Amino acid sequence: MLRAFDYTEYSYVRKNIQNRELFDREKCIAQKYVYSNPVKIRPEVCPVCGNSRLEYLFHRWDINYYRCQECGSIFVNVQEDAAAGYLENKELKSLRISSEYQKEAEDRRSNMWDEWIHWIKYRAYRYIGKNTELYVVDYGDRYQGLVDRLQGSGLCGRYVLTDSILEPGTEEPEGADIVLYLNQLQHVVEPVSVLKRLSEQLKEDGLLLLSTRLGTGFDILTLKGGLDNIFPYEHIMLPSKEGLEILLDKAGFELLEFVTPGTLDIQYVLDNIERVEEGNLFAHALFKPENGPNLMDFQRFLQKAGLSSFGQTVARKKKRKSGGNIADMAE
Amino acid sequence: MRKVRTAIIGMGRMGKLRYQKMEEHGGYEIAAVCDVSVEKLPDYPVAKYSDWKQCIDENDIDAVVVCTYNQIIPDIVCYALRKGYAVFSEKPPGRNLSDTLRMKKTYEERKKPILKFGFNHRYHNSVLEARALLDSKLLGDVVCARGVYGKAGSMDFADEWRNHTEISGGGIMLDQGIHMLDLMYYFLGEFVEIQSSVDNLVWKDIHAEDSAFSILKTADGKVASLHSSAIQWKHKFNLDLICTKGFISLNGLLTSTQSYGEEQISYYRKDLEARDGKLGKPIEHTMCFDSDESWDYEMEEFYQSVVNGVPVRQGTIYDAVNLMEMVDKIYTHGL
Repeated sequence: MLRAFDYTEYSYVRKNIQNRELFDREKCIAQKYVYSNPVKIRPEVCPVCGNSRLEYLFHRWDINYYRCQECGSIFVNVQEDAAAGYLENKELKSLRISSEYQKEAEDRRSNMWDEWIHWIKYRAYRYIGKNTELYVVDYGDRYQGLVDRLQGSGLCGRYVLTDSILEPGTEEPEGADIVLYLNQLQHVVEPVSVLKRLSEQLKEDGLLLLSTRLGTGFDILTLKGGLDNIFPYEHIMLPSKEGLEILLDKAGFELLEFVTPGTLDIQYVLDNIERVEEGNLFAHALFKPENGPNLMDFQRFLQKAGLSSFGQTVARKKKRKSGGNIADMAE
Repeated sequence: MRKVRTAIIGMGRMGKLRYQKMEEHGGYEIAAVCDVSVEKLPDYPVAKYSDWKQCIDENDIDAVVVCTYNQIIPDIVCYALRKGYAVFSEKPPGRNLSDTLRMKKTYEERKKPILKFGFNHRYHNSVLEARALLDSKLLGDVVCARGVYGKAGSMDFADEWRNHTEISGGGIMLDQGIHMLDLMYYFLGEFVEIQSSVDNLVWKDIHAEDSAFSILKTADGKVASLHSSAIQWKHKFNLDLICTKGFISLNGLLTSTQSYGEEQISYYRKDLEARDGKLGKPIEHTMCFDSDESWDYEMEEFYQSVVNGVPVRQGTIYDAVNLMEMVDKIYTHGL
């Protein structure tokens, strides 16, 4: 595996990628859904590595988040049908598909999307040797602006959007050069089975480009339950770096690179500094006003050390061995 | 896996490194090693020689790996090529252009010869990433480059064989600067106009230069500046590649001494609209690498050439001739 760390320095305080009012409406919908779909059962094993040494981390709206002491992944113990029901919730879908929601996303995320597509094209060229006219499957994308940009980027000779609220999927793709699985893993109860499904959509040696919120980010480890943008059903699975490696291996992928280019850990903690535990002396010392100019350097350190809460991976589908699917053999 | 039976001529630092890398590769069977100080060699479980001709003649081999002083590289390369063996040789390809042309002549006289020179920097991770960025055209076309490669000499610098021009052919430019020149040639193409200043700025009592500054231009107008130094008291590797739509900066290089700093590639997209807030400070993307597979990739390419007939792509005799023509101009077109 090529071990690399990608860090991005922004020269300005970025516009929040979420409209607060719309975000609060999403949270309200999620909260209502949680209270109508309560979960009280403690998980027995980590859904990533199968280890039984689990620790309670925090709770949100009566649902407990647990952390695996072995692989460091964070998760809630919800039922698969309840998780699917959340994403199919009419009120939530209606909000997310609305022109107001889509326009806000477009306004706030267009630069980020451009950077993303540039990254995808770069990594495609690095590993496939071309970055045009590729067969690309976009899994779960809910932003029309990103879909439009991908289709207009020259990257895709064939573009299939699947499992999206934007349009019902009509086919189960196969033979793709690239599957994009951007910020979807967090919604998943059975990550290995989903990743196996993605593997089946790829041709041999095809690439999975995956991004996800991580359970090993500085913000969540510092704020725990004080981080108000992590909430049940929206965030079911937050793997660690080690957890992600385990998942990809189980699903038949070779991890080529893992980077943590997140830029918002410091901002999230700053925004919620009053929620940092009093006993966390380091965090309170770090976030004193006089340290302001150094905080961007600290964010760079987090990115480089793999401690930012946003991870991007490039993984290659392992070659099928005769007599079976490599993903089946991995179990 | 077919084994390539190999003899290594010259068992100094590079010979020992090649031995280790070939063992790790698994596709090589080292039949013999040769060194003038053979009695000082570690206990390698292979035949040992102090005479390189005898080493080549007395062993049933497929390939010869040449890790000697620059002075005798051409003799060994030509001899091994004439014997029909595949040859891998360390850089530089001889002491001067005349040496390299001699090897080219022998190479071209042979049927299906295999000859590769060890310009391993092309296989460093940061360089591979830069190549992918340039080839992908995501940053447009490269138009100019600026490179600094420097080291601090050493306590016994004046006594090192590298600074005795009758053996080495040149100083820091030929020994280390040639790697930077090779990368510039790799990224920008052949330089046809060259101006330079080649000096002994500090090490006044050595035969070879301790500094070389060069301005180089390709036939299609791409420009590069190169500074090769043995008086860079803190080791430094930096190569900037300026493109029509962005900028790439390679900083640090992962070497065995770990003295050139962490190996990084940063790139920036041209952003005159200041979409990211400030003109002249676009979003920075940096990758850092903590492993150096350059030697492994290099030996794998040579293996593929010998076993599967895959043409040598990096470090061909024609690359070598072009580079030595440029080095020759750097030495002779001085201020």
